[in-house]
Amino acid sequence: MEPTPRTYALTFAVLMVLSGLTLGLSFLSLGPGGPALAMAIAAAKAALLALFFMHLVEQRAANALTLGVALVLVALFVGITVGEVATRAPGR
Amino acid sequence: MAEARTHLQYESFEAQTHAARLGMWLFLVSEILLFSGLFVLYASYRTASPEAFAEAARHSKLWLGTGMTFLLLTSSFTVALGVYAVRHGRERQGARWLGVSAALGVAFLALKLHEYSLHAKEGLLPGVYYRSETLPDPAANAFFTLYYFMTGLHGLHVLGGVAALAACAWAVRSGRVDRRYPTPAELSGMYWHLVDAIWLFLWPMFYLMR
Repeated sequence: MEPTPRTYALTFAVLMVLSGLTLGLSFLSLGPGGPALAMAIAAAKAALLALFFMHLVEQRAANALTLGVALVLVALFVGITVGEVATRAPGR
Repeated sequence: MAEARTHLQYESFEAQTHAARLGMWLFLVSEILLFSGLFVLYASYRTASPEAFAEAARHSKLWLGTGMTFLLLTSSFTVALGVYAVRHGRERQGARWLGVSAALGVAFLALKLHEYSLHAKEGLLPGVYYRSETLPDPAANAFFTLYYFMTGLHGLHVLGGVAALAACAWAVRSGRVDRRYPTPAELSGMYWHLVDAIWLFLWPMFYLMR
């Protein structure tokens, strides 16, 4: 099913609301959870872009698989490297 | 779509369109991997010096960054409307939306350059040119070096996207891209959405996580 202008308008509205939410949250002190929450909201927004604006919902699974594999590789790349930095002994 | 423009090596327009989209996804994925190295650097430095990064982010121009987010999100919406119009035979309207999107991209770049000039006045420059007295921590230097590299690389992509959208708007107006062959507009739109999606991560990283 091809997204319609109605779907686009709804997607845009949700993206604006989520942006407002991230902006609002940035004024609160959420401790170390703050950055994680901000990035999680960014990921949700990027998923909306990919699904509706980039039409992944109506395209064949091969396209979603291409993106999915890349995202797994990026997650490993970031996860392993940050894990190493975070678990270094003090006085590195 | 009996009259769709199909190249002779494809048995159907549907097969041709799928090949074009899959090829575009492969290219976009290579762009994601290109940016991922910089994301890893940022995440590592931030993990090592969370306080200095938060302090440095407080020196970013929050409202300029927020304005740029608004411009890019709006331009993604107008690109989607433009591609839809071209696909459904309303080419003139489609060309207008694509042109509006390119103009929003130019506005984004103008704000970005304005912000660079404000940072330069404060001595917040990349690498060895960094000379801020209010943020002397070497980690703040790393923050702004990454800031210039990541937003700079992203800005070059915006520039490329503006060129692609403007070229598509022109091609639609001159009839080379229309409902029978909307593929160039569609692929340029995908590129533009990816550039927008990358900014959706840069915005919290450099402005909001303060």
